[in-house]
Amino acid sequence: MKDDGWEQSETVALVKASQTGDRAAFDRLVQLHQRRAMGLAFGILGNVHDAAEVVQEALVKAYLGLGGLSHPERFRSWLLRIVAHEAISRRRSARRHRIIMRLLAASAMERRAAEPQERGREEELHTAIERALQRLSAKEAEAIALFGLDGLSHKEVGRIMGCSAGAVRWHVHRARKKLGVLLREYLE
Amino acid sequence: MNRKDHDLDTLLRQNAERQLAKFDWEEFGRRMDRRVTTAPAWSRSWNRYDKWVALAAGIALTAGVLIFAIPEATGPGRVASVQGEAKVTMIETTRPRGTAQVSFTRAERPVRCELRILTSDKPRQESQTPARWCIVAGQGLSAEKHRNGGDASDILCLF
Repeated sequence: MKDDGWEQSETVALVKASQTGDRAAFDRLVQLHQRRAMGLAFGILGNVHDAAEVVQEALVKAYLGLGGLSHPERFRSWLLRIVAHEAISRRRSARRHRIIMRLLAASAMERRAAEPQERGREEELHTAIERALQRLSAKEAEAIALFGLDGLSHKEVGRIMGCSAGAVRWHVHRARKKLGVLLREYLE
Repeated sequence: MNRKDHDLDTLLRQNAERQLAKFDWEEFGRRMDRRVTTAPAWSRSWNRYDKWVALAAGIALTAGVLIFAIPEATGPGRVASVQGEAKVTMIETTRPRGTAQVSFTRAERPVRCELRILTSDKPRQESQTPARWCIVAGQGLSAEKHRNGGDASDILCLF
């Protein structure tokens, strides 16, 4: 991974250029931050497809709102906050549709049972993690996802979440405790 | 960090790495490019001043509410709610099927026309035309009842 200081100075220059309408600078900015943004969205949602949609939405919002960012050095936190907000919104709306999805999943399972098919352990684990993440509160999911990203201090995570570093530690602790129980069989 | 937490973090990280390793970043880049290209330009420039635009819109909305809603709620009946638009006029003659020949002044010009009488408790739109109401007070008709029960002093006409 590139040096954090170098990345930060490049980000600041690119944000300033983007604010003047330099589209190429914004594209570079996307390249520089898209993996971290995806990591966060995936960490909250546990699903690549949803995470990609959320990140796209967040990056478009960032593009449209970049003119209002008065501190370019805070771009990373600002972008991650947008991503987290979008992911939490997606999570909430997904929750509302979960009953319907359960019904659909039940009928799909019936079909699968008719034609038995071996599912890989990897896919099973992925599904279990996605389900376990849905059982967390929004703050817990956000905290554990941000905490899992490289190079973010408790202070920065707190700034993104709008709470103190102590509160971040608490949310991470609660999330780990719940996930530990829900994913017990994969941790042994 | 205890071993249990460490194992959990490792499990989550490995799952994320495996799932994201399959992700098509090139396709993602193409989609992003399309979306940013089609993002509305007005929105970009608007956003720079979004706080001020929102503030101005808020003030305008509040003023609108004060101008229209408060007289509606506190004024002496419907007359106040259409003040300015309402023209007190004279009904010259009433005609069958609920119409009336009236004359009044509008935009400083004398107008004479036939209006359909509608009861005031049934606001409506006629022929997709936005409803603009005026109160017509008919001289000598105050005691007269419209055929569907509306009092002449309590009728509204659409124009």
